[in-house]
This record gives sequence, structure tokens and C-alpha cells, in this order.
Amino acid sequence: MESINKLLLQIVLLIITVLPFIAYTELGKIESTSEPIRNAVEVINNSIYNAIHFTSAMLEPFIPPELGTAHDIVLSCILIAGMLLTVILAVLIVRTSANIITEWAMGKDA
Amino acid sequence: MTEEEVRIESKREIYDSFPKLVVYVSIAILIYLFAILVFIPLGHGFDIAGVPTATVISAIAIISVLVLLWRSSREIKDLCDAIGGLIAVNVGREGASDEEVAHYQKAVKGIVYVFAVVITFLFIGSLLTEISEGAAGILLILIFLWAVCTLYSSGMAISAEIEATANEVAQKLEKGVAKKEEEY
Repeated sequence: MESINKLLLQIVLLIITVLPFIAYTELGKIESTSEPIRNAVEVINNSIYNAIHFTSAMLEPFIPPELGTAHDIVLSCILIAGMLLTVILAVLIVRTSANIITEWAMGKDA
Repeated sequence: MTEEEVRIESKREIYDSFPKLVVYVSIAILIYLFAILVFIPLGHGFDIAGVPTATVISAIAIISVLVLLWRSSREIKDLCDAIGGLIAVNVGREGASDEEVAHYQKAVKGIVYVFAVVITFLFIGSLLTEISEGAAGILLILIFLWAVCTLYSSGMAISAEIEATANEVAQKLEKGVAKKEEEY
């Protein structure tokens, strides 16, 4: 039972990790004729851009110019961290599932 | 091992390995889809110290898919052994000998490995083209050469088994004919 709870927690964490990226990917594709929806999408997009620009502006003095622009580095780091987190959670899910399956198979043997 | 032991062991391996294999493959597909549909398109146009972000993300995805497939290879091996054992018991000659079981296991392993590697290449190939198209081409050629060798050795294993079965049938026929001649 503990393993199943752990598995559910890991699946929820994976969804929470990936959902913002999926939402960001899909935001640009929304073409609605409804003005409230268009406004909402614009507000979310602006908020994301502002957050990234704010972080980039804060980090700019600490980033050596040979690494590239602060904006590019902040965005790249967010994406790479997201991908790494997704992979780590996926591997944990595999491990927990394998344990659950082994327990189930051993129970069937007994 | 007796026929019954081979049958029980094979069924136990199938119960244990098949669900694990399904989980491994599903997670590998999930990582591939997230990488190809979400992270790589978002990473286009950005770079760190001259290295494109999409390339870094592709490399992470390739490594993770390879790790998952490496872990699932043990399950594929167990599953193939189980299927080979069951085939030897149900289809093969009378009394599943170790040699017969080994032949069927080798044949099943070869065929399944080739399918698994080809399916893996379908995943990794598209991620690898993000890094280098030449590398994807070289990998494809290597896979083709390996697949030819593996299928050849599988074919040889099946052919050895067919030969042994044919000899057994011929001996039975000869005995039958000799018996009839004795009766006359």
C-alpha cells in the first residue's frame, strides 16, 4: 500500500512538473474569437515574459558574456531543469512500479 | 529440467517480466513524447555557450531512453527465455531437453531483440537527428549489420531444431517399417 501511495505521489509530481511547459507550448496555439480568452492568454504570456525578463535582468551582472545572453541562459536552464526533473521522476516511477509488480508476482507465486 | 518445471518457470517469468516491460516501455515513450513535443520545440533558438538548448535536451532524452531500454533488456531476455521454454514444451520434440530449450530460446531472443532494437531506433533516431544526422545514419547501418548477424544465428538455431525433429521422425518411421517387416 505504501508503494502505491509513493507511485501516486510521483505521478502527481510528474504532472505538476510538466503541466506548465505543456501549457506554455499550447498558449501560443490558442486562436479564440472570444475576447476574454484572448485577453487571458495575453495576460499569462505577458506575466511569463515579465518574470523571465526580471530574472534575466537580475542575473545579467553575474553571467560571463562568453556564455551568451542572460535571457537565453535563464530560459535554457529552466528547460533543461524541467527535462531533467521529468526524467528523474520517470525513473523513480519505473523503480516503484517494478517493486509493486515484483511484490504482486511473488504474492501470486505464494 | 522436466517439462513441468520448464512450464512453471516460464509462466512465473512471464507474470513477473511482462508488466515490468510494459511499464519501462510506457515511460520511455512518455519521455520521448515530452521531449519531442514540449521541451525540444521550446528550446529551439536558444543556446548556452554556443551549444543549442535543443541539442542538450535531445541528449538528455536519448540517455534516459537508453537507460530505460537497458533496464528493460533484462526483462526482454527473461520474457524470451520464458516464451522459448513454452514453445519447446508445447511444440518441440518429446521431453524438453536443455539443448532443445536453449535452441528455441536463442531463436526467440534473436527475433525479439531485432524488433526491440528497430523500435528503439525509431525513438532515438528522431532525437539523434537533432544532434547529428550523420550519427543517425551510421547507427542505422550498424543496427542493420547486427540485425543480419542476429537473425542468421536465430535461423541456425531453428534449423538445428528442425533437423533434430526430422531425424526423430525418420527414426520413428524406420522403426515402424522394421516392425511391420518383422510381423510379415
